[in-house]
Amino acid sequence: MKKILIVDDLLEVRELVEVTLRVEDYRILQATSGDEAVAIARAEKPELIIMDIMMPGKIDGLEATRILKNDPETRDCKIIILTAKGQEADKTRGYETGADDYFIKPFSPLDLIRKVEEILG
Amino acid sequence: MRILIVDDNKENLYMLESLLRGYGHAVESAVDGVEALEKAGRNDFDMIVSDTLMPRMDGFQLCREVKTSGRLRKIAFVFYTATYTDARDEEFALSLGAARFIVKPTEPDELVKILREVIRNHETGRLEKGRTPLEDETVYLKKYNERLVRKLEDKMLDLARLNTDLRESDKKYRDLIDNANDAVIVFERTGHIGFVNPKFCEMTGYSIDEAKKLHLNQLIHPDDRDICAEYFRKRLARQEVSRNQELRLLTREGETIYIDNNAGTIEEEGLITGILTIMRDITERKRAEEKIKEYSRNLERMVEERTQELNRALTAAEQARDRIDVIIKSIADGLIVTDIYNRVVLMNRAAEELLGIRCTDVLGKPIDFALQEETLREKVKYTLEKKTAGYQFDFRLPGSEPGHPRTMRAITSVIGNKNGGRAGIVMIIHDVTRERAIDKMKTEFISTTAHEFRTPLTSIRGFSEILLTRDDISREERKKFLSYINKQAVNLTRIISDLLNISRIESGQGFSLNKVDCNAGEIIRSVTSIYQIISPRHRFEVVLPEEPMQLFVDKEKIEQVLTNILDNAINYSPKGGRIRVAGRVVGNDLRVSIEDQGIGVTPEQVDKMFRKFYRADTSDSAPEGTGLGMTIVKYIVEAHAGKVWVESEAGKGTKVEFAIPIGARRQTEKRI
Repeated sequence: MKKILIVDDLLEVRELVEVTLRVEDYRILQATSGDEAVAIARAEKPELIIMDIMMPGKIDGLEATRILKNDPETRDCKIIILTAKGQEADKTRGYETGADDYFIKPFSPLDLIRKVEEILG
Repeated sequence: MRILIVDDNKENLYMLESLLRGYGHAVESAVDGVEALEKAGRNDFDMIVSDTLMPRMDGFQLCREVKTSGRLRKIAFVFYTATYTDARDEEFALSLGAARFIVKPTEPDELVKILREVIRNHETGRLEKGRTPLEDETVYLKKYNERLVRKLEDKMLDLARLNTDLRESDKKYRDLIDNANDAVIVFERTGHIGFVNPKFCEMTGYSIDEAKKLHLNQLIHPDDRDICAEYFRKRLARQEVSRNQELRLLTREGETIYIDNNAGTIEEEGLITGILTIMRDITERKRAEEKIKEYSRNLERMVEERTQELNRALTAAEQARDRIDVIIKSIADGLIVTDIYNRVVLMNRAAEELLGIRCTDVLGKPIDFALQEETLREKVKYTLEKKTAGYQFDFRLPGSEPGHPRTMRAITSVIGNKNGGRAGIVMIIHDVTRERAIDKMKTEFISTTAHEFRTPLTSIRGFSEILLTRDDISREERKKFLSYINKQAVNLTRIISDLLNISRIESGQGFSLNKVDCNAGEIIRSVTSIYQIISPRHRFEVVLPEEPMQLFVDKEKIEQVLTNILDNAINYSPKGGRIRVAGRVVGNDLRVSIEDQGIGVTPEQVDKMFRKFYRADTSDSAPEGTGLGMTIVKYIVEAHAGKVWVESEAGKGTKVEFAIPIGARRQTEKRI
């Protein structure tokens, strides 16, 4: 069973993503900050991380993505950034961290599940 | 040798005397025979040189007296004469005992030579006993009378000739006077006219007879009479006056004519008997002069008028310029004006202050040289080179604090001249630091606000799509998702309401307070309890007195104050911790404090906390918020005549406290 890590400081968003992904058999993990995301990713080595950017704590989603993509242990882990930051510059910065895709909130759950399936093959 | 010379002409005497003295002779002179005889009687003379015709006693008589005198007869006697030179005169003279009869003119050398010869012969003769003079008185008288008659005849002939000459001469002068182009008038001493010429009659209209009855005063224009009388008087008294003067005459018909008067005196035997004047008619010249003077006066008047006009225009222009000067100086924006050669011609105080340049230092210098600021200089050069009509650009200047540059907006425009060319450049510099800061804040605010909208919309869109498309949703889940959707819709409404409130307050419309009776404790408890559910990781502690705290306030707005402060409290204490909400009454005020154990803020941030759009953290990890929460808190509290303040220490937490008057019922509404 493939593991997907959902990173968002808002419970509601985590719940939404979880319900969205429930249509397939994934093992869902959750983190509420960048630091937590890095720790869990290293421990669990999920196939996919859905990462928010703006979160309280020392490192935000972009920094967490950069760390994970630069870590040989975790660099194969696919990362979709899911954020409310919707400007072109934000998107460019997102891809620069090594993220595999960039999703802007609000999003369509149907689109997200399609994207997840596409990435996970 | 001693010589006595006798001549009635003093000039002749002088000349002969000088000549003979020049040759070393002792000379004495006498003016006639009487004086000569007397002098000869007193002194010894070797020779007498005498003229023939002289008053009292002529040369012949003198010669006769000398040669018949026992004592004087040895003196050599020589006639030296120019008149009546007749051979019989010489013969008579020699017969009287004269040594020689010399006729003028004789060369001086010749004369002296003859005289010397006479002396020599005379001395020889004296030794030989000279020729005896005529002894016979009858013979002498007869001959003498003959000579006299002869002389009278000659004299008569001479006089007749002279008379003819004079008449001819007189006629010549008369012709000149009669035909003269100028009037000739002779005034007698009394001022009456004694003589006029025809020209005078022509000039004045009087006949010669009429003119001779005129007096000076009748002829002279009344305005010139005094001057003229004075002149006349001085002239007669031989006082110094100029010969020429301009006068006005009255003609017979009473017309005024101008004359140039040239006057002299007529003298007879040392007495001034009248005044001769020559008058030239200069009326036409005077009229022309008058015209020129009149024309000149008109010109002067015109020049004067024109000068006054120009002065008025100049004064007006000066006033206008002064006014413009004051305006330019008062403009808060910097103003620099250059001429066609791009030299600074004007710079106002604001420009001096903004650029830190003194106008006096750069006046007349090329502008791209005068400016210190690199960007500004480059842009100005660009405008100069491109010949563009106008150009607008921003540049930065160092601010009062390092690291806080000021932003300036410069607008350059070309000053056109009449021919459509350029006469220079006017540049206006405006400090846009505040505007740019506000622009930046607005941009950030819009971006933040957009993000604020995205979060509730994520829930609304996501959960509604799930509910619409999925069959695997349980009844409980369905209810929960719907509550999320509902809650976020409410949230969105609140954000919109915040924005509208701020916008309204900012635009000066304020907002109205809908005051009602309420209980402070209930409000605090109900708002806090919601947060207990929203943020389970925080421990909320409510501290209230036992007795109820009655308030008369806008309940909804006070709830919003609490909500906004609590939002911050949970957002800025991400690790959870205690949030203490305490309410109490102090005097007439309700005091509420909300204290968290979060990241806290620095004193600098405390100052900025109530500013619009301010967010303590704008990084990606910053808590969500519009940046308007605390601004709205301040507005609402102040609308209730209250106060809000913050105590905080970085890393230790934040305490926000506000005080509002408990209020009285009759207070209904207040606008801010």
